[in-house]
Amino acid sequence: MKIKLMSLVAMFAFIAMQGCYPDGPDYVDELDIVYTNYDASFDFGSVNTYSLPDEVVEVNSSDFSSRNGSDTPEFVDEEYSTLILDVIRENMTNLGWTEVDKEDSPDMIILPSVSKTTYLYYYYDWYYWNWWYPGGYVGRGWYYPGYYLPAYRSGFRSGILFIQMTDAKNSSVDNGVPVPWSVVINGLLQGSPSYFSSRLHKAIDQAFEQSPYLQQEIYR
Amino acid sequence: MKNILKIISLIAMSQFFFTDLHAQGYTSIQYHLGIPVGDFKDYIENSSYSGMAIDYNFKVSPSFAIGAGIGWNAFYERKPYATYEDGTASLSGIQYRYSNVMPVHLTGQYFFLKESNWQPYASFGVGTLFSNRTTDMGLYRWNEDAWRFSLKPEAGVTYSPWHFAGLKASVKYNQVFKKPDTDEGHSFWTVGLGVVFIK
Repeated sequence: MKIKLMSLVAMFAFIAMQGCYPDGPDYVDELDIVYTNYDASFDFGSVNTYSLPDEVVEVNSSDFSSRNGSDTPEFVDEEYSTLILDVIRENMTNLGWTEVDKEDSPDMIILPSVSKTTYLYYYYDWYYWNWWYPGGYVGRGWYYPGYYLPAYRSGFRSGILFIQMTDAKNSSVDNGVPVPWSVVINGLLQGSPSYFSSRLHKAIDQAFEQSPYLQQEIYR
Repeated sequence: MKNILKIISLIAMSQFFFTDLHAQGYTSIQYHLGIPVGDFKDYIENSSYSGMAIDYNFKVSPSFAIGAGIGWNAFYERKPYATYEDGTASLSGIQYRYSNVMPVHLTGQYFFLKESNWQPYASFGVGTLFSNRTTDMGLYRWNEDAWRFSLKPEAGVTYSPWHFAGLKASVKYNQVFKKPDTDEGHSFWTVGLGVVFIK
């Protein structure tokens, strides 16, 4: 009888232990996240024009240090940079913004950059954009008025798409470049090119979806 | 962990002392179904099918027993893709929420029938609950360990057709007191089914 009871106890213990390690993500895209933050005091309705570069900068840990803007950093492959820029452009147009050349005094400038790393930095050196940014203001670096960007580390090899919308009209040599809107998209660098592109497209759309304050007045 | 060791030591010591008084001791091992309530349910809505409890009680009179118990339940829920806002920040993704809880209580137990194989009882426990709460989102993890004061009213019945063993069914409510100004509730019901060893 005691043996039977011990079997019963073992069965209970087995049932209880089932699910000790519950399910986690099954697919890579379940790990994709989209983070946005903005300066609440900035009136996005009072500005309308923006400029977008033709390239997406690839931020590496230490192998680019051209501070005078004479050299260009590495860029993301055209397949992905075209996708990133087109999706940003499409969303901005849908929200009522007008794209202009960077020499035509845009209100805002959008800087997309990509980082592939196991350490997640949401800050990167200003000189990655010094070759392109008009006015030479980036020398004092970025600042995020009224909000902070979180910083994490991860043991996984992941990719970050970092989109900064800078306030071109209020940049100054003394203070640097204010960034009223920031996007951090993070996910694993896995999957076929088409699958990866689909995830990227969806994530950029989501960044705009969760930032309704970007909507221009005439479209509200 | 030190608190757990103290509880286990108390149980062991009490067994030693009360064996000399010819007190009847009961050790029960139960499977526990956990059902979150209140703020805890807001965090994880799903019931826990992974859980167990071990209790030891000894009778100090024909109708009253004192003892101690320790339990464990694992709660889990996958939250679908959603946007979470915190001030000006918005974060979208799928969340995986885990909560492991381990209640430890000293108990007083009253038996309604003195001479019967069926022993319905009511019990009340005072103790603590250790919780490990983990939220995974993307590649990031938020983790929190906490000890909370806890009360545990309980009702149940034991059926002992044999002199050395029987069965036990119980319903327990783990009232867990949270820190002020937080919404980190951990209160939950458990429905238990298991065996009792009588010494």
